[in-house]
Amino acid sequence: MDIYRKKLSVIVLFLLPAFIIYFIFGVVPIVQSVYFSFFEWPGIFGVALKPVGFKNFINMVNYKEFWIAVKNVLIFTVLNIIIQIPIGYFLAILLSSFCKGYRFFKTVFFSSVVLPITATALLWKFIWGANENGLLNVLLTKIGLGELSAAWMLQPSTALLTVIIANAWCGLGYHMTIGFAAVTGISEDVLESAQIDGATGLRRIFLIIVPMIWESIRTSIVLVIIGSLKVFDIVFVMTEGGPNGITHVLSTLLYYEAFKYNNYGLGSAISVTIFALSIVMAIISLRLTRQKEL
Amino acid sequence: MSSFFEKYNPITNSKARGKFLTYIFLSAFSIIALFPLYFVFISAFKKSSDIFLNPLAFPNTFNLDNFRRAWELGNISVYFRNSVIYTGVTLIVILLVSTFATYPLSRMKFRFQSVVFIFFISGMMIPIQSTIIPLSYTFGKIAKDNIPMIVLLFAAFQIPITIFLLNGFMKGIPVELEEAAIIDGCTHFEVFWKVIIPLSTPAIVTAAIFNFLSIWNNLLFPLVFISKKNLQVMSIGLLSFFAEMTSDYGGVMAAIVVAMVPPLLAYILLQEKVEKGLMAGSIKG
Amino acid sequence: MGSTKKVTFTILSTILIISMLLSGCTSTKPTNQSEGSSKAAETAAETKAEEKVTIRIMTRYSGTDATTPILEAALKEFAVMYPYITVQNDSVNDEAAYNNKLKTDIATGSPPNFFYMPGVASNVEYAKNGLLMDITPLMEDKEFMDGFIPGMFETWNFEQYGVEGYYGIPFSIGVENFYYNKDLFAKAGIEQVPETMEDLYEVIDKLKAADIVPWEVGAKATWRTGHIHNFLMYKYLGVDMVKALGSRDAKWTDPEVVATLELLKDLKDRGAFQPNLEGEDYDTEKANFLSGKAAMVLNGSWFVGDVINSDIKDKIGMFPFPYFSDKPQFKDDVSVFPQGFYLSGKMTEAEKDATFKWVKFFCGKELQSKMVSEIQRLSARDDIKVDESKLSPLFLDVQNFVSTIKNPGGDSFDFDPLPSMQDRTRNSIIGMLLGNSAIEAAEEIQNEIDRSIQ
Repeated sequence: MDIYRKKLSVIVLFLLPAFIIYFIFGVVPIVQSVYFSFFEWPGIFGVALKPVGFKNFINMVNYKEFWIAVKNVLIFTVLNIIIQIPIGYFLAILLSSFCKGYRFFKTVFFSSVVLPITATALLWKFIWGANENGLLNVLLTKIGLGELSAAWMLQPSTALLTVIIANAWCGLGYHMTIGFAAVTGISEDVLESAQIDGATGLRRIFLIIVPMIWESIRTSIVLVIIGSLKVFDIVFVMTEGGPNGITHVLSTLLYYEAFKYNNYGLGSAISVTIFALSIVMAIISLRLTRQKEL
Repeated sequence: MSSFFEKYNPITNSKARGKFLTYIFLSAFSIIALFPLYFVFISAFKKSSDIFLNPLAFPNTFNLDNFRRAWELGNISVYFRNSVIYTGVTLIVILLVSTFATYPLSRMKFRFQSVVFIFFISGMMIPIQSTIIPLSYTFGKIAKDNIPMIVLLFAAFQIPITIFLLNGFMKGIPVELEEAAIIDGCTHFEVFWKVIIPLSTPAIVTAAIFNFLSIWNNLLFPLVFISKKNLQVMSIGLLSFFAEMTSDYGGVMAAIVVAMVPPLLAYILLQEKVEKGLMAGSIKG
Repeated sequence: MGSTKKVTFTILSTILIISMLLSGCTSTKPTNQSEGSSKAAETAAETKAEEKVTIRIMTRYSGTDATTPILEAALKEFAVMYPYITVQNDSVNDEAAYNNKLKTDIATGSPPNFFYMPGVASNVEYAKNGLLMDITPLMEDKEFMDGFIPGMFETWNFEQYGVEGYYGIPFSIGVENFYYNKDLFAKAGIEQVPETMEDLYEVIDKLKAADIVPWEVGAKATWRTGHIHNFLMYKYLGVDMVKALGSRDAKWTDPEVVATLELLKDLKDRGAFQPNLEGEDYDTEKANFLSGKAAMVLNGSWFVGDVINSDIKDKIGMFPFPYFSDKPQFKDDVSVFPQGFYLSGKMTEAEKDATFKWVKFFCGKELQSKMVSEIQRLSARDDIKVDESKLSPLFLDVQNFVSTIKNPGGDSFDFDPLPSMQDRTRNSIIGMLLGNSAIEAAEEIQNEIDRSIQ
């Protein structure tokens, strides 16, 4: 059996196509962008790269907006994990009962994922709009709670939340799908023996099902972390990082510095930061959620 | 059907109360999920100015003007067709290449295995924005409007996450099933093709769905690498409605409705496959 | 498959199939030959068998932009006039997508042959590195040049920024002024349009007393308040002082400059604008004004097109931005936004030739006249021939106003070589309106400048 598992020619052959494509079109540019972070370049072809050592990183750290972006992106990540994963998996478990119409519900939940991000952003901009131009405010006024209406996307206290909620809305179906695949993949033998052992109560079953799909949950958490740290589209279309930079995340800051202000070096420094943060947080999360061998 | 799950599911196997609660929760979340879509749908039939003034009202007449405008002005039909083709081809490339690659990573043993794995996974962590410049610098001239190259570029960025998704599932396949096949005299390839792939169907389908969405919605790559209008994709087509000084919200809503159809279709189709796979699995297992 | 599933599936796949069939049908579009055929016959006879050339243009005129039909008609006519030249149109409407694409083209050294790029002083770097073409040779064509409004090319004379040569070709201009609802003014008992800022404050008070929104501003589009501040600076400090900010001879933290920010904050404090203006987008602003919910907006001549398509077009008039009665010397310092195009500095002789032909056509008398009469947008030329009876009185008023302008200025950051100033100034203004003090906003802007000098 070991010989089977270690046959090098097979290993190499199977890995090769993915490796080649990924290396040439993925790795090389990534390394280049890290390289860029040690230089200053105004983004004009033919203008030489000016080596500046760590200056980009020092500038980045001294930049007030950078820390706002870091704070925002961390809040974004944590809240996304807390909101999307429990609810998504909860729905998946509900659906795995194959109750009548489960297919309908599945499609419904997934349709929010299917909307193009620009569409979602526009939609939620309208919901959170200020004055009578915001759906939420209009509804609040209708039920007599008009004093609660506010300029949701302008207040520093709620601005980022508006984006997080919009993002959660379209992320739920995502994790529900992963969860559903996981739950329905549980071997029936395990469930049968659990049933025989008398595990019927909600609590006891959560102690059986959840551990069985733990790998899948770990995957979801890491996906959320990585996705949240580099989130761009929805923040950009909804707020563009504003007003006055209070909802900036690292990717939007990167975009502005590189594509608008011609600071490609600084932009690359930010992307290196995102990269580093992702690795660190992914490893931490994997360690913390490691399952003991059964 | 799977009455087995009906019996053993924790929520519903107890009395009617369990079933009732299930439906309550599912319905509540459905409303949350559908409500904004309801808004998009009704707005697609209203005049742009009406959308702002009476947001929740059902449209008086089912005005198809927005759709007409979306179709013509937005050149939707061409973009649509292009999106379908690129997405389909890229999807096939990614899935083929990634499933092959994940097999040794998840089920075989070799030195530097975890290094290779991390090597692939780390690609997920860089935001695409920062690689656009080096990419177009190196490949810009060759890749412009060159469809096979663009497919490979897309694929390269989707491979890490696909491998990541597949790895988790493939690892969970019981070793005994493989060993049975090996004893029967199967080659590596046969084991891979006949045992692992079918069992990984839920994962493959999940990966297919997510890749489909990423590629379908991708904005940056087509923007930078495709300049010929008749080769352009849907996501850019939607953008063409967002003018700086005039904005056709009605047309946008109509275009969104049109843009949602293929992913939904794909999902519905693939959903069937998943269930067939599960059924087969439960009979065998 | 369950039957509902089957039905949904059939419907969706039918839609998919139909769309694919349709896309096959619409991919060939017949070219409109009738218009340019006589002219085409002439030019075709003149040109010998020329070698095929392709040039690339990039503008914002795409999708629902009002100028899109003009561009598309121009492309068709040009193709008939010069069959050997293929013009590839890479225009994109959305600002972010456009900037993205353009920047990448520049970064890889292949700028489009003919393109729009925001900013003026911030593009000097590109000129220095040969990415932009010095168009002085083009200016030798007298017939082409004479038709332009005098001084139009000066905006892109980079000598003022240390680089010799002219770099931009004017296409159209946007002049800014107030548009107001005559009925609402009458309702509030206002008989005369304001001429001085003091008059304006009175008008605002009267409108408020009559419970009418005085001045609608969709400040979510940060350029709206940016433009108001431009005017406040021009009327309080004069255009030349603003140029001094760009050349670093003045600072944003100088008291007079801070005063202009104070003036804007003061306008908000005295209730000139609708509540929560920072959250309202430009389309809502337009919709509110054009449905009679607000009395005034400050907008550019590009707005005329929207006005004449609205229901209240006969009720809208215009008046210039008021001046400070103690600073009459700045009465004719006005915001004017020349829109022009740059040419690529990296062209072959054949491409240059083809591009020049395009420029002379697109920015030439015929096309410009067409633009004015069809979409009522101000041209940069003054030799255009239009049937004035077909133009709206509002447009004619605006056109007349242009001739009174003595000292035009664009956006304040046009004079600033730092590319981040566009966002920095606009964002700090919003930050100020949302609670920061004027001096804090000024410091934010000045810090950005100081940071870049290190």
